[in-house]
Amino acid sequence: MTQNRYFYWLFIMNSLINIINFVPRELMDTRFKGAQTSILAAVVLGTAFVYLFTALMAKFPGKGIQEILDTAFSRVFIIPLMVIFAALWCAAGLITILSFIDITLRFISPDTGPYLVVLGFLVVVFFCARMDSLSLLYGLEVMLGISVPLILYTLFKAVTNPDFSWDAVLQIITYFPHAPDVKSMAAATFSFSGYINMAVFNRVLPKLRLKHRWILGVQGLAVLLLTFYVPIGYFGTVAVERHVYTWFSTADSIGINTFIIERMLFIFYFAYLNLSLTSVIIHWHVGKELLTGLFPSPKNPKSKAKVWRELAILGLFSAVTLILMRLDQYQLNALGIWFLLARWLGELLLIMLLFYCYTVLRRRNP
Amino acid sequence: MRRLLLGIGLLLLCLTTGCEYKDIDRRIFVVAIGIDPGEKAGNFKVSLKLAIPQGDVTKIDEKMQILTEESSSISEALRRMKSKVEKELDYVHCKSLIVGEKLAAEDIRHVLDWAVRRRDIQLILNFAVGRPEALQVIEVKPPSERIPSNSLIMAMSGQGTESPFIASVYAYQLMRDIYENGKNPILPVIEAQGKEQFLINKIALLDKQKIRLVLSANETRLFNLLTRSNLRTNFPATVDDGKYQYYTESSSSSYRIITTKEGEPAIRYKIKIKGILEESSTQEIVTHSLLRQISDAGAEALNQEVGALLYKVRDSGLDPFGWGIHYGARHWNNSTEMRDWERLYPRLKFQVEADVGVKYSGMIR
Repeated sequence: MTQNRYFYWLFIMNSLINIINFVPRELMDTRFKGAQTSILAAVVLGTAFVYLFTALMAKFPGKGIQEILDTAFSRVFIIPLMVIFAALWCAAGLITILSFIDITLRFISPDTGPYLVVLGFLVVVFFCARMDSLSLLYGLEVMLGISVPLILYTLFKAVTNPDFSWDAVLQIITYFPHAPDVKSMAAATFSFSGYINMAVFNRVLPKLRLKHRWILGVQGLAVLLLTFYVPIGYFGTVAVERHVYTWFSTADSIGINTFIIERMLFIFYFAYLNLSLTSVIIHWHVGKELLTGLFPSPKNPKSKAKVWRELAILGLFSAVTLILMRLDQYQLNALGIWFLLARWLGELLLIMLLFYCYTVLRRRNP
Repeated sequence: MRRLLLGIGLLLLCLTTGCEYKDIDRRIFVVAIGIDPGEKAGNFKVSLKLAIPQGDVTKIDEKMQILTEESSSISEALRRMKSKVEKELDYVHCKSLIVGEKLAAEDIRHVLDWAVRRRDIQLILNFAVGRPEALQVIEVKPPSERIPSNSLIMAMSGQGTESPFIASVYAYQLMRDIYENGKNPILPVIEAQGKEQFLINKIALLDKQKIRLVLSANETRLFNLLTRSNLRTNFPATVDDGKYQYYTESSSSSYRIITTKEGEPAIRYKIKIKGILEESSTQEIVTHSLLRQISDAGAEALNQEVGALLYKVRDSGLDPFGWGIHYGARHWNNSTEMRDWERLYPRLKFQVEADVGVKYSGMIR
C-alpha cells in the first residue's frame, strides 16, 4: 500500500477533473443518442487500458517511458514521439487551466481582469511543476484530502435535494438502448486516463504492486454516471444542454440552509480550484519531464543548464496559455473536444509502443 | 531563488484585497428585482430594492431604497439606474425576482432567460408573480423586518415561516420545467396588501410561457400536499355535527399511472397522513372510536377535495405535477410515448386514496 496509493490518487484526480475538461458537454450532447452506452463502453475500455498499461509498466520497474523506449527504438524515432506526447500533456493542463480561468471569471470575479487571473494561476503552476516528482505526489495526496470530502458533500447535497427531478433522470435512462457514440466514448475514457501519468511517475514508484484494479473500473463508472445524471436532475432532460459549465451551474443551484455559506457554488469552486491546479501542475510536470529527458544530462553537476531548460519549457507552456486566452467560448470548447479525442489515440499509441518494447525485451532475455 | 519566490508571493498577497477592488462601502446590494411591463408596449419597467450596508449590527435600522426605470430591455434599464446611485450596484445577494402579473400573463421567458444568463445572479433565485404589480410587492416593508427584503426571502425560501400555502420556485426549477417535455411550470403569487403586508397563498399554473390558471389558497395547500412531503398544516373533518381540525405531523403522497379495468388511463394517488387532533367544536370526550371516525371523515373530505383539484388541473390542459415526464420515464418507446401521453391526457381519471390516521387527541381527551 505504501507506494500503491499514489497510483490510485493519480487515477482519482483525473476522474474527478473530467467535469472541467468538457466531458459532461460531450456526454450531454449525445444524451438521447447513446451517451449511456458510451459510458459503459468507456468503462470497459478504460479499465482494459489501465490493466494493460500497468501490467506492461510492471515489466519495467523504476523506469520512465523514455528509458523504456530507449531499449527498442533509435533516438530519431523517439524525439518526435516525445514531443508529441509532451504536447498532449501540455494540452491536458492547458484545457484544464483555460476552462478553469473561464469559470473563475464567470462565477467568482467577473470584474477582475482575465490576465490577472491567468497570471495568478500560472505563477503557482509554473513554480510547483518544477518540484520533484515525489513531492508532487505527496502534495497531490494532501490536496485530494482537502477536496474530495468537499466534493462528496456537494454530491450528497445534490442528490438529497427534494427538488431533484428523478423523473428526468429516469426518462433519460429510458434512452439507454442506442449504439455508443465514438466521440462520447473517447471523451468518457478521460476519466480513466489518470494511469497514463505513470509514464513518468513510474521512476519514483519502483515497488508498485497493484491489487484490486477492478475498483478503478467501479469508481470510474460511478463518477461518470454521477457526472451525467446529476445535472439532468437539476436542469431536466431538455434544458440541460443550455448550460455552458453544466456542473458549476448545478453547484450554483444547491443551497445550504444551515451553514456559514449559503451557496454551494463557493465550496464546490474551492474544491475544484485545488484539484484543477494540482492536475495542471501534474500534467505539466509530466510534459516537462518528457521534454527535458530529450537533452543529454549535463556532465558538470553544478551546471545551471537543467534549470534553464525546465524554465524554458514551462515558460513555453505558459506562453501557449497566454496566447490561447484569446479563444472564445466555442473555440475553447472545440479545442477541448479535439483534445479528448487526440488524447485517447495518444494513449492507444503509447500502449502499443510499450507492448512492442516488451516483446523486444522478451526476445533479448527469454 | 527562495527569496525571489518569497518576493513574488508577497507581491501577490498585496493583490488579495478582496471585494474585487471595490470595498463594501462603495457597493450597494440589490436584494430584490421587480419587473413589470412598461407603459409603452414591449417595454420593461424594472424596479430594484436596494439594501444599504450598515456597520453596527445591534443598531440596525432598516435602510432601503427603491429605484425604478423603464426601458426597452432589462439590461438597458439596469445600466441607466447606475446613474441614479453613487455606488456600484451588486446583484450577488439578490434572492428574489418578482414578475408583475401583467407581464406574467404575456411571457416570462424573456425575464427568465435574462436572469439565468447573467453570471452574477444566482440560480437559487426565488421567482414569483407580483400582484397587482411587482413594484408594489417589493415596496412592502413589514414592521417585523430588520434587514431589507428579508421577510420576502424568509417567506419564499421556507427558512422562516413554514406556511403550507407557499410554494417556492427557484430559477433553475423554472427553467427546467419550461423546457421539459411533459411538465409545466408553476409560480407562487405574492399579493401586496398596502405598504406593510404581503400575502403569499396562491400559485399560478403556467403553460410554457404565461399564466393560465391561478389556484385558490385551499387548492394551493392541496397542491403542496401532493408535491411535497411533510407539509405542516391542518385539515378539517366533520363527524355528525362536530367540526374537528387535525394537524398533520407527517404527510407523504405518491402516484401511479395505471390502466383501469375498462381500459381507461387513470392516476391513482395515495396520500398518507399522520395527525394530531387540534381543535374540536364539541365538548365530547374523544374516544378511540371517535378518533377513528375523525380519521375516516378526514380522509373522505380529502378524497373529495383532491379529486376536484386534479380534475380542474386536467381540464386546464396543464401538467404542473409532471405526470407527462413520469409517464415517459416509465416507457421505453421514446419516439412515440409523448404522443401517446397527449392522447391519454384528456381522458385521465383520478383515484385518490387518502389514508389519514389521527393518532392523538392532543393534550386532553
